Amino acid sequence: MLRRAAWGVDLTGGAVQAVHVERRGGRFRVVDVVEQPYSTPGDASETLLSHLPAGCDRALQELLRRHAASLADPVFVALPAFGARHGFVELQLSDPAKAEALLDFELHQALGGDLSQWAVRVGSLRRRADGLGAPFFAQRRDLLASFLNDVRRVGVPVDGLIPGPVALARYARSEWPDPGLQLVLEVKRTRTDYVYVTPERTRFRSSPLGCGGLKEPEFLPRSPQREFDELAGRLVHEHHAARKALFGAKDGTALSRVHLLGDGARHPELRAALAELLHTEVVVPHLGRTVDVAPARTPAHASRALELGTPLGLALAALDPPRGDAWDEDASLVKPPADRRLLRALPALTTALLIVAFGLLTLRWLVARDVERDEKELARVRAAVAWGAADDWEDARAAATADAQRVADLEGKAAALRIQMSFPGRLLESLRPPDVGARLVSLLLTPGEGQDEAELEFEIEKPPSGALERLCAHLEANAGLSVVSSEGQRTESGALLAKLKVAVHRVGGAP
Amino acid sequence: MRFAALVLALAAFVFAFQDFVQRTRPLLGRDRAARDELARVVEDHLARGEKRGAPPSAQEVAHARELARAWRQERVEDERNFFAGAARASDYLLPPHRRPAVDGLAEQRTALEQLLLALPAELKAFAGASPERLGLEVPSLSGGVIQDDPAGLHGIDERRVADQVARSTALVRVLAAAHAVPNFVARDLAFERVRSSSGERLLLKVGGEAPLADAVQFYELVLGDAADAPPRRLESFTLRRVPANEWGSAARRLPSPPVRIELRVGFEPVGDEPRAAPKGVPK
Repeated sequence: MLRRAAWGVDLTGGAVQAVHVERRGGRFRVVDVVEQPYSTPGDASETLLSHLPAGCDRALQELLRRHAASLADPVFVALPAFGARHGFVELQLSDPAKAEALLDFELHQALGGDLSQWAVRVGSLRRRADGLGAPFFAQRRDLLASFLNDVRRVGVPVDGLIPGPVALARYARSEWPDPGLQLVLEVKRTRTDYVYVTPERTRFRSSPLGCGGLKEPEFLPRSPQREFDELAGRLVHEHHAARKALFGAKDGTALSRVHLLGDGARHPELRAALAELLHTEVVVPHLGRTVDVAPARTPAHASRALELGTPLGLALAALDPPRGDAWDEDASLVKPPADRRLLRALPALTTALLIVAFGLLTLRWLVARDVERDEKELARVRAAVAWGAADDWEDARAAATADAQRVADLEGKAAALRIQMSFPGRLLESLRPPDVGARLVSLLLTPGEGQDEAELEFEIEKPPSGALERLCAHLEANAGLSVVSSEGQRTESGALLAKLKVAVHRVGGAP
Repeated sequence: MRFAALVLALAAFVFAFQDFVQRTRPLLGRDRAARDELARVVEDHLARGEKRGAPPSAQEVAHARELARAWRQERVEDERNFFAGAARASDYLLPPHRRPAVDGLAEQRTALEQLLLALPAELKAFAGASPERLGLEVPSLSGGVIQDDPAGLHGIDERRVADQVARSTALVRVLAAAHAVPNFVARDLAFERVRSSSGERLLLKVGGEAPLADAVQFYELVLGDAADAPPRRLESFTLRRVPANEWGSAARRLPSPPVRIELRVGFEPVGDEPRAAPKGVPK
């Protein structure tokens, strides 16, 4: 099974924070965490610049040096929301097919008329009570290109670019899919993101105020509550201003929960001060719903990894991108470079080659087995019907027929010869009685196909009337012949010359 | 790592493809041929079954072979009787108890030469008959028939010997009949070569005068059973009363009025039938 993993990298807020997350079915596992601060200790605010903050490049190079191999996985980077515009376009119609043109018009209205200067991502249309609506995020293209060039110049591959608060909202929706209004408060070293999440939409605001001025928990003074109260008060003040700007002054929706993330989540005192000021439950994540941490990590490390909301949201967006062509608000603003796509396609290509090779080898095994089975079946079918026996039977019959024919031929010849041989003697014997009175004058015996033929001439002296007929009858009765024709002629001496054509019977004489 | 895996996978693919081309594809062809042959055999079985019915059982085949063997034995027996135990024409030169003389060709040659030497004296009874007119090659005292082959061609010599055998054995039977009938006056004796669809046949024509009863006896002796000549076949027999003015000297030699006979006899070929048993029939 192919391993799917991705990096989520957040460069803003005074530190490079990155997580390496693997997808395992429907869950995600954090396998590596990187935190590399670059802001000056004690500095709690940052200057809003379109370029990378000072020191960030060194932190990124450290990341590159230590995790070069795993950076082959997709790397999604958080885009600073400085200079960006976001909002929710509300359309007074209910037919999504007609919404596209109107949506484009509204975006022109919201972004000052010329969209070519903006990289815009629009969320999917969702139904509202009074029509349709869609969230959008837009960043100026020059700022986007400037940031992207800075990051890529350092050497960090960028496969995806998502606004940091949008990524944070993605993480929040994945981990806390609760109804109602939730505030995700990610307090970083030099800035804080306020992300208001409802089931319908996301609102956010960033302020250049962080917890970088606080000392690390182990170096805090004996009674540091005043510092936390002061920071919490400023944060709550910013929250009220943001809420008023985002929801309107008349909005009375109560916060159902506040999630404290980022560096500020390491300070329980800050969480307590915020809860006191907001009159709402403020929670710090210790156990993820869909995200867990590799077992080798300590509970403190696990808890700390779950507090990196923006990097986790980036990784989730990389591992679970929007389906099909539907761009959502957390879709990447850039596409991965071709060489990175090719590099990531290598495992699939390798797997495909291996599958084909295995298939070809398996095919030979299958075909060899099939050939063996077919040839066995052929031999069985050939042997099943004993046509050889039929041929032997035919040969025996032909030989017997030929032999029988030969025997009949020989017997026929012998019989014919015996008949031919005995005919003259039989003829003389039949003429021997004195009352016949005929004398054989001539005999011509010729063998025929079916029977022998003979021409006989007799001389009868002083023939009585009907002598010829009587002679014929006598010969037929005693000489074994049939008279075919007869003719009588009187000679000068008064005798009768009888000429007979006869067929000799093939009677008797069989060998 | 990924490239190394790709290279290995590529190598595996090349190996598998080469194996497919060199071994699997011929196997596929063999498999296709086996299937085609199987279909052909089945079709052949069906066609033969439709044409000839079910094949016979082993018992039926054995019975048929037994019958064929019986017919073969009967044929051999009949041929032995019909040809008086002779397997070839030269066997008639030897006594019946020494036939067939498979290894006795030299002995048969000797017998032939002796017969050819003896025949001229026997032929004196037939007026006008001479060895030369009858196509007989009388050997000299110093050499045999075989040595007269001028070209030394064995095949031609064999044909000459066979011709001499056929002529001499045919004459023996006629001469024996002529000597057995005391009142037979021989007049004519000649051989004829007759071409027919079955080949060239040798006919013997004999003529003479004898009283009627003796003529019939001569006729019966010439055609009758004999072990010293091939079986005869009557071609024609003519018997005619001789007018008194033509009796001539026969009137003084014959006790009763003579008849003139003319007998044409053919001889059955010996040894021209196929002797090998067909397939499936044991000898």
